[in-house]
Amino acid sequence: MLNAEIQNSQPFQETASQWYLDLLCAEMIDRGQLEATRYLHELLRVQPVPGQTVKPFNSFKMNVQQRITEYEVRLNGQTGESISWFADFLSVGGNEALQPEVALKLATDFANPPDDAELESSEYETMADRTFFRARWRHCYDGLEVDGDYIEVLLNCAARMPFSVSRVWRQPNLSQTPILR
Amino acid sequence: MTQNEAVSVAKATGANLGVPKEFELSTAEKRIIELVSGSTPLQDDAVGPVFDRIAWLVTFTEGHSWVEISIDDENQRMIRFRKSRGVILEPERG
Repeated sequence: MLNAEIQNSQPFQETASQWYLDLLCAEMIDRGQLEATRYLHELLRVQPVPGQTVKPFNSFKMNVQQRITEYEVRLNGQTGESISWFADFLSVGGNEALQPEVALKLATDFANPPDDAELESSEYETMADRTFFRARWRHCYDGLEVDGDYIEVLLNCAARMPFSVSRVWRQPNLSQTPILR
Repeated sequence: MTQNEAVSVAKATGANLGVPKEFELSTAEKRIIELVSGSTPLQDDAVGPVFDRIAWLVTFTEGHSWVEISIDDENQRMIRFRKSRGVILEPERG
């Protein structure tokens, strides 16, 4: 396509982007950071500078863009129910301002755990530059833990607000008849 | 099925599957697990209708690597097999 405005779907963009990310990966491997290369494609993308036109044998400019925040929602594809949400920007500025029992009460209000939930852990944590309160419940059904089920709230105690809530919970189907969940 | 029986079955099953001998028994817990109808115990990417079973989850570890063998509490058969990335099974040849 000649003299066309550069579009995101242009094949050359993908080729150029891949070449540049491969170059970064090679440099990271050279520095002994093999594991980190797995996340490069999630954190960086290469995009053409807007307003350029494509001409044969011409060069074009591209920008490297870095993801600076993240907001993720997971939904059950069968029922549409929310499984989890996470908003990175809400986790900024957290501290240990609340007494652990106060933080747990707050987390419990957001989690709304059912009667067969059992508190598994609740404590402050610091990961990288984030300090937060994690409360996690497991699912006990007739005295047995339901494998894979949990409710978890990550709380920014400075804001007294959660920045992540996960709820993986099911009614065990111990019948012989499979069901869709 | 007792915990000891579950461990015995899991050890025998693990040996047949080729779990390396260096892996040592870590835990054995009775839980409710979800299975996909029609899937095999070694299939970890199956999708479809599901049901739950009561099973013994027996785990073996070696360093940071782990293997989990789930034994059906009712019929003593393996119903799920999971392992951490990088674990290579060594089934007997012949």
